Amino acid sequence: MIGAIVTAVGFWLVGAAVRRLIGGGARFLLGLGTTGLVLHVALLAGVPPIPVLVAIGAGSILTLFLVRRRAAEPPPRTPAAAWVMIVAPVVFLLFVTAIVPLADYDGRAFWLLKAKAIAVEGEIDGPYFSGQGGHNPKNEYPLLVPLAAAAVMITAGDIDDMQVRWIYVLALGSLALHARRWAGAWPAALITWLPQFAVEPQGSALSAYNDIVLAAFAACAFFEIVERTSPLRFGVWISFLLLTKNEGLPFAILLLAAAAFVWRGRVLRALPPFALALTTLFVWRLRVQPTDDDPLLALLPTLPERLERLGPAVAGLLSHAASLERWGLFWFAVVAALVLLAVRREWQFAGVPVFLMAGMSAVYVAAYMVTTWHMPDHIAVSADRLLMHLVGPAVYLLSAAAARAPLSSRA
Amino acid sequence: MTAARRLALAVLFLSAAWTTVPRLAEEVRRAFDLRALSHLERRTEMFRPFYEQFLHIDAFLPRGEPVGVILDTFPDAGPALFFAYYAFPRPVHFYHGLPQYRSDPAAPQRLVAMSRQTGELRLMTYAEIRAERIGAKHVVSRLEPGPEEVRALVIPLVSSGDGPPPDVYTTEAVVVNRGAQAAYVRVRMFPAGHEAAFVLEAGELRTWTDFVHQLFGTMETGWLRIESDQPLGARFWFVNRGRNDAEVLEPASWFRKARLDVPPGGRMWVLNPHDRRLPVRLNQGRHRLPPRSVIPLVWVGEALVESDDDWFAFVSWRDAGGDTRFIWPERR
Repeated sequence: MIGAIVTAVGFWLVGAAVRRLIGGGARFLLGLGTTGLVLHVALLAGVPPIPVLVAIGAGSILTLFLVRRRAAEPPPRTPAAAWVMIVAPVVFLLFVTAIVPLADYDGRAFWLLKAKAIAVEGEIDGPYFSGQGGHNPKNEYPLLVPLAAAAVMITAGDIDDMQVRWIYVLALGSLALHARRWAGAWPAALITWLPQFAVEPQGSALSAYNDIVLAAFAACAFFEIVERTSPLRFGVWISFLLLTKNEGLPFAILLLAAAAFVWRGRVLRALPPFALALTTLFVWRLRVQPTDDDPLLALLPTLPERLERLGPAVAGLLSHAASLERWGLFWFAVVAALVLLAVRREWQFAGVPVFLMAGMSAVYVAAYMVTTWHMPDHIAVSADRLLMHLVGPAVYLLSAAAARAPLSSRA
Repeated sequence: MTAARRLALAVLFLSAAWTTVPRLAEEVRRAFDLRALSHLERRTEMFRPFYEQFLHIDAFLPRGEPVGVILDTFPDAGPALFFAYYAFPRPVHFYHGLPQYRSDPAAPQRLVAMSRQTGELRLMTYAEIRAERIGAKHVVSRLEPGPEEVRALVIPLVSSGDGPPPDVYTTEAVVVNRGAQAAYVRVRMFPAGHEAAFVLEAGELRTWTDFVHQLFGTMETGWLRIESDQPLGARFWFVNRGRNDAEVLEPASWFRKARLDVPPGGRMWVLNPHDRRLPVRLNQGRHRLPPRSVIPLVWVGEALVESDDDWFAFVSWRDAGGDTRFIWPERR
């Protein structure tokens, strides 16, 4: 229970403080990302986690006292029914995850095992990550979420996964609430109802996979491009993104490319946090040995020899998008929205989201083509989770197509 | 919002809720069912029997002691990963089969194996897992006892032990009581001094896939003295299961003088059946063999072996394919 409170209050508090400094929204996600990033940098520098957590907590409280509230835009208009639709699944999920033990695969096998190791050893290059502390699968997976989970475990004084179950549910809630401003209340509410986000055993808020968090950071970064006000905030989101999962780095690069197109030279303001996170990731990876990670980057040169896999890879990804059991009619609706925008020649709304969705889909298809796994198996266990990452641009497309007047005329 | 858009949105929500609502309701029901239990009890309830078995093993092992998990098949990986997850911070090392475990000089003493049939987690010793893997499947294709009937027999070399992968040494055996009365059989293994006995009913034929381990519960090398109150037919094979290789072991017949030729890379084994040290001459050299011992000597070329009392010697070597071969002495 302590962990649940720390998760709900602690990250929100840190996010509220960061929001005072850089503006924006999604306090929970901002707090989660900031805690993970700061811990990553500090632990890499050899600072133990407890003083870092004390500093983050004290710094956040001081910031909230000392820094004036920014003049924020009024919250997006949300009909009561839409509120209920967003909050109801989240409340049920909070209830379930407070009681029912974690039963997923990757969350237990990889992500939370790392969180436990960090919480126990207080290091990200200690015995566990150097292979002296037993089996350490996927040793080079980025650590932002395990670090944030470790922060909760350390604060709660318990490394049981029950302490951190709410991270994933609150990330989903925060994503949906944050998306309201750009996607509208109803398309945003839809996110919490999608089976893949809500109830699917592998990847949903019931699990401890990092895909919801990655989808949320990617959506926040995308919405910053739509908003066009703060390249720095955009840089913060993509810095979180690249430290969340391996897919985060190509996604961050695509987002940067889109941002450079939209912002031109102003995009340089996004680079400091991005460069900090990238340096952190690479320096850390120099200190640890890869174990059973699929070396996709090294396999990319084999792409021309695997062209016969292109069709099956695309078909595999599309077949998962068409799964009614996991997505309902969501992706059909996204395609319909895209067609509608094309017919209406409203490319100003479709350009960036289509670029991001097509770009990331191409990355995933290329990864499937060169994977050392049996490709259909790889697609079966990952395609739905990869599709989750695209939810921000997707709901934006839905709202742009559905709205008589665009929700954000600034896109 | 126009009616058409409202309808489209409603259809979209319904298509998602169609799956989400019943599954979420099921999860909520499960949470209600579990809420009265403690956290450990909930996990036990959900992951029965895996989590119970894990708790049992974890409670048995001293805190922090490393443990190895033997993975034989791909489906083992999931339970093994979850075992490592729940056991943390206990170091858990994975081994893909026993040969990999044997190759790790820092391997933990304690091992967890998963039953291929039931997925059951069991804390086992290396020898127990090895014995289970060996099971009842023989390498020797024709397990036929020799035609001679004897009441006493010495097998000069028996082994249950493993060399560098893939070498897995066992002794396969067949013993038959062709008589009309039950035979009481006493077996002693030297130099360790292990002793075991068994009864062979009239007409009974019995076989072993790993004689030393199955009879004495140990993994050792030595020689056997077998005594029976009834005549028996028997045959023993030196087996390397890793190479699917089996070679007949000739019973020892004592001598005082013999000539042996040891090929390059071979070993000359010398066996002292007495309870005292035995002075022997190997070519011109003089040696004293420890009591009840069988010792491999690195030797190349011809050896004339002599003593004033009974003893035995033979040669083992490996052919180009790595299979073990024996040369038994010509008596003089």
